[in-house]
Amino acid sequence: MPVVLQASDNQQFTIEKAVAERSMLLKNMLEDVGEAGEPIPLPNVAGSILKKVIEYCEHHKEDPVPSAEEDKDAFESSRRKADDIDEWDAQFIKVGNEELFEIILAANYLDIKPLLDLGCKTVANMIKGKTPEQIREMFNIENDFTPEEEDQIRRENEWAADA
Amino acid sequence: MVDLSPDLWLHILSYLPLKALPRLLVLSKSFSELFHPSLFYALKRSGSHIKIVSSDTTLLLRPFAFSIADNVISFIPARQYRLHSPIKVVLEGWETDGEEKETGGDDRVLALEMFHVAYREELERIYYLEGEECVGEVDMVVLYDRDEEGVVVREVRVTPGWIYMGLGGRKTQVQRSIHPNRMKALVEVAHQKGLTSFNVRAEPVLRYLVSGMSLSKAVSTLVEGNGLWDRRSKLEQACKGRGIDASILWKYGLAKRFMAKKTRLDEGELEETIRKMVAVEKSFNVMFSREADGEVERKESRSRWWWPFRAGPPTFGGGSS
Repeated sequence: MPVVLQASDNQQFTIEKAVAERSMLLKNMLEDVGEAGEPIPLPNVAGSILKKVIEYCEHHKEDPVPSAEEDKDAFESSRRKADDIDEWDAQFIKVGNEELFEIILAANYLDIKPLLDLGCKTVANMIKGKTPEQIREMFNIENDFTPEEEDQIRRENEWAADA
Repeated sequence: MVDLSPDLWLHILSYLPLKALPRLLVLSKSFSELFHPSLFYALKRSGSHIKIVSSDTTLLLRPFAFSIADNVISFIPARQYRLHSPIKVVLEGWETDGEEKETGGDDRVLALEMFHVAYREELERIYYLEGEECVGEVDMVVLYDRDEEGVVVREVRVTPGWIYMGLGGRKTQVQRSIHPNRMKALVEVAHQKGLTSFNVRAEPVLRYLVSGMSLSKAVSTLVEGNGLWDRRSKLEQACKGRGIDASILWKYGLAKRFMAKKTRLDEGELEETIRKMVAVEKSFNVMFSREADGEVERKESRSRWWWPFRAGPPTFGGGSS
C-alpha cells in the first residue's frame, strides 16, 4: 500500500510504505491511524526538501533499522566520527548551506536519525579547521560581544588559546 | 543563531574534535553558552575516558554530567576497582597529543632533550591517597571512599581547562577552579580570618569544594593548620622564589621523592633539592641555546618525537643558585 505525503506547499509525493517508515514519525503515525489512504500533511517541510528526504529514504530503505539500544543515547551511536560518511551519502549531501540546514530540520522533525546524523556531521566537517571569523561568515553568525566582553572571555579562557 | 535550535547545534558540535571546541567561546553569546555541553557531548561521542593509573590497576571513568555554573565536568567509573596509592590521573588522548618535532641525532644531546623537552607535567603528576575522601588540584578532584582494603573512586570532577591542559592548551598562571563561587567565598572568609594565602590543594579546601564540608569548618581547619602547606606546595614556592616555573617539579625523581616523604620538612633538604634542579635546568638552557645557534653538531639521521610545548622549553626568570 503506497503512502501519500503532502508538503507545506501542497506538493504531494506517493511513496512505498517501507520508504515512509524510515521516518519514525511516519512509522508511528501509520501504526496509529492505519493505512487510510489520505495524504499525510507535513506542514513543516517544503516540497523541494521533502523530495530530497524521500530520495535519501529510498536509497536507504533496505538498511537495518537502528536498535532501541543504539538509539538510546544519540551521543553514543556506533558511527561516532564526523568523517564516517559513505560515498553515496557524501554526494547526496553536497548542497548549499540553506538546503543543508533545511534537511537537518526536516530529518529532526520526521525523526530520521541517520539523515540527521549525516547533516550534522556535514556541518561539523565544514566547521573543522576554520577560524571563529570564518565560522561566523559561513553561517552568518553575529558577534554580539562588546569588545570588553570579548576581551574578558579571552582572558578567562586563556587556557584554550593554543588548543 | 542560524535557524537551528541549540539542541541541533549541540548534535553538530558533538562531532567536532575536542580541540576545535574552544573557538565556540568567542563566536557569539549563544555559542559561548554551548561550549560546556558541547565539550561534554564531544567527550561522550568520542568515547573519551579519564584514566586513574595505580601500580596494580587502571580505572576508567566516563563522562557523566556537567555544570556550567560550577565549571565542572564529572566522570564516574565504568567499573569499580580498589586502588592503592600513589595514582596518576590523565585523560585518554593526552599521551599522544603534541606537535612532532625533529631533534638531533647525537645520543647524548637526544637523551638530554628527551628528558627536558618531552617532559609533560600533566602526565607525571602523582597523587597520594592519604586524605579521608578526596585528592587533586583546584581544577581536578578525585572523590573516593576508603575501606580497609583500599580506595574506591566515586567520581572525578574536572574543569574544561584541565582537559585542555593535556591537549596543547596554554599553561596559565591562574588555574580556574571547579566550583569557582565556593572558592571565591573560601578565599574571602580566609582573608577575613587573617589567612592571606593557603594551600589550595589541601584536603579541607577540596572537601569544601566538592563534598559538603562547611565553609566555617574548612576555614578554621586552614587557620589552625597555618594554611596546611605540604611538601609539594613548599617546593613550588621555593621554585617560584628562584624564578623557576614550578611545573618542572615532576620531571625530577629527586623532587618526586622529596614530595613523597612523610617526615617533617627539612629546610636543608629542600634547599638541596632546589639547588640540584636549578643546576640541571640551567645546563639544559645553555645547551639548548647553543643548539639553537647551530653550535651543537647535528647528524644526518634524525629521530622524530613529540614536542609538547608551544612556547618552547622551560625557561628561567633569572634566579640564582
